[in-house]
Amino acid sequence: MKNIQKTAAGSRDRVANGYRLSAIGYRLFCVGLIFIFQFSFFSPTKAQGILGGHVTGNVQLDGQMSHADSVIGADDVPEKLLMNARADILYSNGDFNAGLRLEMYQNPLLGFDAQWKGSGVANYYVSYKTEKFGITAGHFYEQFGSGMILRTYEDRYLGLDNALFGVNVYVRPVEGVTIKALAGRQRYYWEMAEGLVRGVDGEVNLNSVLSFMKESKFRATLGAGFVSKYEEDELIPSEDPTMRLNLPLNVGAASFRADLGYGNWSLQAEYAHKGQDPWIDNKYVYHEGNALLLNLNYSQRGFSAGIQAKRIDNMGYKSMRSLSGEMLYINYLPAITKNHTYAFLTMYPYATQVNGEQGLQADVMYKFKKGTLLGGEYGTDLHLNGSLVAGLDTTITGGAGTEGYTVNGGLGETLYGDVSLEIAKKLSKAVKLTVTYAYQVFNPVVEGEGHKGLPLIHNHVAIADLSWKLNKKHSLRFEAEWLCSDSYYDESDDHHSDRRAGDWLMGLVEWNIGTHWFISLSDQVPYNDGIGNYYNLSVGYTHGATRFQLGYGKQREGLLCIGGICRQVPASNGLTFSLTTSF
Amino acid sequence: MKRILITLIALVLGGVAWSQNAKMPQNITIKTLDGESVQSSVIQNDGKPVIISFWATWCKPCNRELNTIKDLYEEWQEETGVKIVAISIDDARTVARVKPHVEGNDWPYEVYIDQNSDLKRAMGAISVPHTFILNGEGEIVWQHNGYQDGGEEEVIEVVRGLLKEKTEDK
Amino acid sequence: MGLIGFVGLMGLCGCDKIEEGEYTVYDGAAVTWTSGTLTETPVQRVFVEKFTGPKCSNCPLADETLATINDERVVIVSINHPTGQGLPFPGEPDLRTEGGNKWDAWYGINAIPSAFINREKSVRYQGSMTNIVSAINQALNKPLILALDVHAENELTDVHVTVNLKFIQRYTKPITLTAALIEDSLAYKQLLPDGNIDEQYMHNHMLRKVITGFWGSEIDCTGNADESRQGTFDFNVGEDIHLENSHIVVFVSDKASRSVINCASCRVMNEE
Repeated sequence: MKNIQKTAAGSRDRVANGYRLSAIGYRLFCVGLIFIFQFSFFSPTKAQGILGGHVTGNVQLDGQMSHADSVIGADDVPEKLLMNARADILYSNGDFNAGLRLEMYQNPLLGFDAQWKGSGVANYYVSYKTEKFGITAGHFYEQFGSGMILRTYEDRYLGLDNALFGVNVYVRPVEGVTIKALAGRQRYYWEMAEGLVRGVDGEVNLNSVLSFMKESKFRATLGAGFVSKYEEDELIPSEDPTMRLNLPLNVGAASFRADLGYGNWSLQAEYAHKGQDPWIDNKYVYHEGNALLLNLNYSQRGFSAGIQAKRIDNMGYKSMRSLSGEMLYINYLPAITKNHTYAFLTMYPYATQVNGEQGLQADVMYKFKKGTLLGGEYGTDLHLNGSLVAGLDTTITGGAGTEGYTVNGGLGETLYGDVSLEIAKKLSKAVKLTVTYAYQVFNPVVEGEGHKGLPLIHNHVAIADLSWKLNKKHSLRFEAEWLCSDSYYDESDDHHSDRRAGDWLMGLVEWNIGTHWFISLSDQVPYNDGIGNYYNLSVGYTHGATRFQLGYGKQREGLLCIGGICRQVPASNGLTFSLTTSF
Repeated sequence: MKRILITLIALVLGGVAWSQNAKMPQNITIKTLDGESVQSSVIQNDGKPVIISFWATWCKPCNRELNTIKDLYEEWQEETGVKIVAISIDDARTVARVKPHVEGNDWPYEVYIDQNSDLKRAMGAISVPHTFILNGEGEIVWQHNGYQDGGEEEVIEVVRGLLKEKTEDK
Repeated sequence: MGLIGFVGLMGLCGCDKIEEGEYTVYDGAAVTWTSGTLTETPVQRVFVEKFTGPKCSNCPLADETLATINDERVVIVSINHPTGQGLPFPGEPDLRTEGGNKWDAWYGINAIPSAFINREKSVRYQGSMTNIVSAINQALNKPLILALDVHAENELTDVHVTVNLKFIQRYTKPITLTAALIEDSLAYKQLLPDGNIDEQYMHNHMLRKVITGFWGSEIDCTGNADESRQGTFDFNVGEDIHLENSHIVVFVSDKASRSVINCASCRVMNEE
């Protein structure tokens, strides 16, 4: 049920000699690189200089020093300095590409799993890609449709990387048709998971393929994908001690999708189905999985409206059945709620419930034109969004080694709901004000089954964000946030030991000096029932594609969420710095 | 193995010394707002410079940047012939909102969707907003990460510089 | 063209459908765990799995090599390969077993004779396997992590088995206990290296049955040093097995990697 980082005990041991294999892969990679250099050397048309080709990439360095603070719950960091670093080095020469990524976690920043500790070449590949055909060998990232059956991606801030190591091919036999095929194993920290992932995907753009649709106002792209994972048999006991699970070793998932448009209207629909897949987080039940995603949007100049519906039933799909937590997902199930960015709007973030959820989201944007009554001199932007997510209404019929449950037609418990209105208005040439109001309902169970039965939390959030351009060189930004919550803090009660409880105020001042420097100072304080005082000072310098940022202050423990995937971040108190550069 | 690696890196870095500016990746699949898959080679401007801006619907500085440039874009185009290509990295969670967002904001840019960040990754960008400038030959001549008020001036200055170089070459 | 490839690939990576009512399978005797005491001096033994078959002409060579090891600490299990040279001669006993087939598949046996020590999948011994002897000796000299002994009491074909184990060193990863029944002195046809058939070749250590689950039964323990556990289980030998020639083999393995930590064996029939 949880979508929060936690690691199954002993799961690490199930990752077999990934290193040996990757050593072979690595050798292949080296040979590939040498081949490319040879190629560029002998290719008279493409060579530029002796070797030809180009190198691009980026380097990122993040450091953290934290000391104990019992009020916010920060622990001491015995090694004093924690550091994550990585460098992507990409080589391209015509249709050839190669890349490698060095990563170092010595030791990983707070909130990153201890298994990240280490350093080395974490990712490498060679690829040859043309318009008609492409092949990548090594680590690759791929997505079928919206990712409901397959998406490999990395998010360095969440500490996620489920890259497949293997071969990925695409073919475009005619314009508008793409067929992809892949096979590989997923990265698991510094090793590789044993589970094998294979998939094919096809997509047809009807406007390109059908001559009578070439000029049509009706636009249509259809697609279908199929993914299968194979994992060896293992002993998983059933409730009866003399019985074990008869595990499906190959678990397939298929999806069908359509992307349609007509004039200002667009509709995206995807349906996915997954075969029997008993795994730890669905409590090893044999219920098949399915998911449906619908997006309907209307848009025109200055106005847009959209509605999104999603239903997931048992769609957690991993290449290691005994692993809980966020690693080794083969598919991607994003949250259906708005992706908020303000601090207090993300204090109680929603996380996708892969075992079952159903939800709706509606979104309206409107621009009042300049010179109208509400538009004023510079126009006014309005953004209204609402979402509601509930669990599935299920009847439990058994435990491990049974069908598990049946789904009834209704709604399960409320998991999350919010409605937000954002109004942005330029008050003068130099001043722009954005005000936001939101109401949230949050069920703590989305952060783990341990929170089952806790009362719903209701929040009002109000935010004012004002930017003021003083002159050509200096600008200021002020942000004030207010959170009013019916949750409360009580140290003696386990159910109310959440440090984010209560009502909060936040203030932020940001000063931009030219286009290179910024200084920002912020403070978050609970004034009723809460605990802690989270101040932060940061200074940043940007030059071209290089950024350096230095921060000092306190970080609240909580969930760091990106795209509905969340990671628990412990409290910290101290210095952080970050250096990134692209070249 | 380590030795091989070091040799290779040396080779690669050695290569840079001879190479011109990197070309923008040509065969990465991106999508149009209508859902059609196209190759990244569609991004070009008949020998004139291109500004590529990676953004996302949820990224506040990105929206500030693209909204600010919107008011200047007509002038920029008249003066330099530059074209702005805005590439969204919104993933499945928000990707359906990209087209409404673009039209709702009335952005006059050419917009593509890079849903799994393939192009962003291939171009070495880490976070959004990230802006690249391509010269008339499609080579990456400048890049910038982040946006602060006034950043747009730096962008157009680089474009102007490119055009100046070009006339001087002639 | 592409469509054909597409359909072909879809067929290739199928998905398994398990019928309702078959979600669970019999996992062998249920082991009950209580605290216990070791009844024998702790000793490191070594578990040897040998895959063999009646139509495999080189298999007797492996038997010869293994027969030279006259050490009670070496526990050998012979597993009849399920296909090819493992198939029985017409009218001859079929020594293939469900458990043996599973183990065979896990190793991915494609040629026999093949042997493995302590279920270390990566090192395979083949042919006459003369190099296995020194490897066995090396494995015997490993520092002892866990000691175990096994005892059986039978009443006709009903057998009650007691396993005692003790952690000499701390080992906290999940571990399993697997028990198997093996039979010696089974005389039936075997192809010999010279191409002749020995009508009455003496087959020893033949796996007849995996008593517990194929991959064992998880041991209820904490894994701290000096911890002692006793496991007991009952099973029925079945009709076609000669009790007097049979042994019970038990081995403790790491649940995840399946490598064997230690093993023991005892006769099914009481000594007296």
